[in-house]
Amino acid sequence: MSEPSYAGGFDPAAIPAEVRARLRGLRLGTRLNSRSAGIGQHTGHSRGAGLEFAQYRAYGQGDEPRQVDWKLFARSDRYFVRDALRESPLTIWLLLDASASMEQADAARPHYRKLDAACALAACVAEIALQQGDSFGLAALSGAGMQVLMPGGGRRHRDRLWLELRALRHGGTLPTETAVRPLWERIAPGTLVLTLSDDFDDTLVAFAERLAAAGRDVLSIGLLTAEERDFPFLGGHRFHEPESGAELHLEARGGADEFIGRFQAARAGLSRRLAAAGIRHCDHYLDEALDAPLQRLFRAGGWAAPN
Amino acid sequence: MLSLLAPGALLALTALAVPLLLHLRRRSEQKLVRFAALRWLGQGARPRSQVRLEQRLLLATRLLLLAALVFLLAGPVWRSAATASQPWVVVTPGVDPAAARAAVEGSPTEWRWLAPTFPGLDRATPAPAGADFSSLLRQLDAEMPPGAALQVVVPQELSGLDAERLQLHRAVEWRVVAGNTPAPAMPAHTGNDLQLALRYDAQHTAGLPLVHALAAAWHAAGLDVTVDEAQSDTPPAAGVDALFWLGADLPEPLRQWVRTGGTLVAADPAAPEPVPGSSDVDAGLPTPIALGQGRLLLFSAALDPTRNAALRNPELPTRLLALLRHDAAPPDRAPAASVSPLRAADAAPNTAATTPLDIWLALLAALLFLAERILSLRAARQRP
Repeated sequence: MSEPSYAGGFDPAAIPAEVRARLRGLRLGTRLNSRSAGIGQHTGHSRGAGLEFAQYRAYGQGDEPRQVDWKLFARSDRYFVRDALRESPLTIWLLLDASASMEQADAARPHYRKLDAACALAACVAEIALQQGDSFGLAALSGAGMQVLMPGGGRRHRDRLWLELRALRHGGTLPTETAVRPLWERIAPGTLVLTLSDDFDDTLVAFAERLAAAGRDVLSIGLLTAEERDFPFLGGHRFHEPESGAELHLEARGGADEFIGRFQAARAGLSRRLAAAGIRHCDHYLDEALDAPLQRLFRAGGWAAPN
Repeated sequence: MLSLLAPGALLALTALAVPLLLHLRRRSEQKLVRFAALRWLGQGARPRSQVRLEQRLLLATRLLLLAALVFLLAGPVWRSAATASQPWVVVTPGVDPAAARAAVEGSPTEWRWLAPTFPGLDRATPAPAGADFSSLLRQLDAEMPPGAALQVVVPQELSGLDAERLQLHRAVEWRVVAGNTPAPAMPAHTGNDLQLALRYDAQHTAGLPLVHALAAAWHAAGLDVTVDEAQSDTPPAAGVDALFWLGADLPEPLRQWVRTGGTLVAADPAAPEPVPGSSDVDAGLPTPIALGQGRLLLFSAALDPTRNAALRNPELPTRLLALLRHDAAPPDRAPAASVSPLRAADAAPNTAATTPLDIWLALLAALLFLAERILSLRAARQRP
């Protein structure tokens, strides 16, 4: 192939077939509308313009004259308004962390970085959204700034997403909150926001908290390597932190228990913090199946997944 | 007691630094890991010291292997402990044992003859040491443990001395008693006359012209040669300088005559009979063999000039005469009191009863090498 290999290097073929098959059982949903009962693809609470007939009801003040069923008026001499179910379209924003810390991979699988997993997860979610006829958008944050794909639907939009993921700029540190501010205007209230990050940087966590507080339904998948979970290092190592450039010379064997303890405590703290903000969170380790976090998030009870 | 033949080789122990450096160097090669969760790594888990050795077992094996090789170079020997540190008294043959016991102070227990294998003094008097006197003393000096006292009882007149004064590596008590070393009787050669005798049997007359030619040559050289010739095996008179025997085995009467101090020239009975038509041999001049107090000059081929090229050598008369006249014996007799041994300046190594340890050390080195290979392979396999 003469195609240039982009830094992001996302390849839709990276989603294994069995994962793709399992995605069919998943449904994206937002719980913000779950209070209002209704029918439809999503529990939208607005009835109105739509193709699918719902009911006739008496004409009331405020109804548009063009909604009146004039043929019925001719037969019954009464004004009836033809009511249709309006499908409530769901918008999913994929908030992708593409900072340098996401470039980390396990030694056992050195070419599968957190960033690759995040891209694959984003593509999976886009796949589900496509099945449901929802629209999806992407905002990737890296040291190079923001890379935004406005929400849209359909296969062509999915291809656009793939292209964005393929040409993803990454590296550096996350932009400051001021730099992210334009996203506020684009992520409309009521949308579903999914952050894909290792959450090591507080910027994205704080941003997610504010989004959740401002009426967006925020989900979070924390991407972690198996090494961060198990700390399997033996002997002397030079640990290099890519974002700050800090280095630590360590005798790894002795530090394993301490690190695992501290790290798990930190993750638990993060989990509590996100839960307090109303954000559903789960961690995904790189040696797990790709759809595992999606199953946990979207199969969990209490979700408006119609059967 | 362990000692080294070449202690300078221990300088090679500096090579031990090489594996040490190798194992240190790997320490500094720390693996670089990209690790974003750095902030949760504890500071207390730092390497305790920068100078650390990896794979200590392998290092130890390598050090031991090098050390074993170095010691192998240094030539280790095991000296048996100096058990026989009791003083020895050696008595030169020719000294009366009773006189020797009277001359020595104290009560040493080890009394030996100064003779090969150093027999006890209660044995029969061995043959005179002769020219071996200095050699035997040096051998004894080298074989005795260092520090053991040595007393030598010598007669007033010593023979068998070297041209150089004897030097030993220990202080020797030199007891001179009456007596002298019986020297082997030498045939006297005086004046200008040369008395020859010729005995032969009927089957071996081929050598007669040779003897006659020799006599003629010596006569021409100005010697007053007389030849007593007979076809028998009767021994000649006592004053004969040389007896030529042409025949098979040496008859017993002639052998007896040689024992009393005569010189006999003959073909070696063990020499092969000349085969007609066979090529010449050049057996050269014979080496004198002592027999009793006399000498045998045995040609290793038949006394037939047509068969033995040595007999056709124009220098034969001159050289054989020199042999007969027993020239070239250096003076080896001296008053014993004037030749007491000196103390050798150099501390020569005691080679007494040393066992070389090379074999065992080489075996150890081979085993260590094997162990080093196994450990090294195992370490290489563990390393990713």
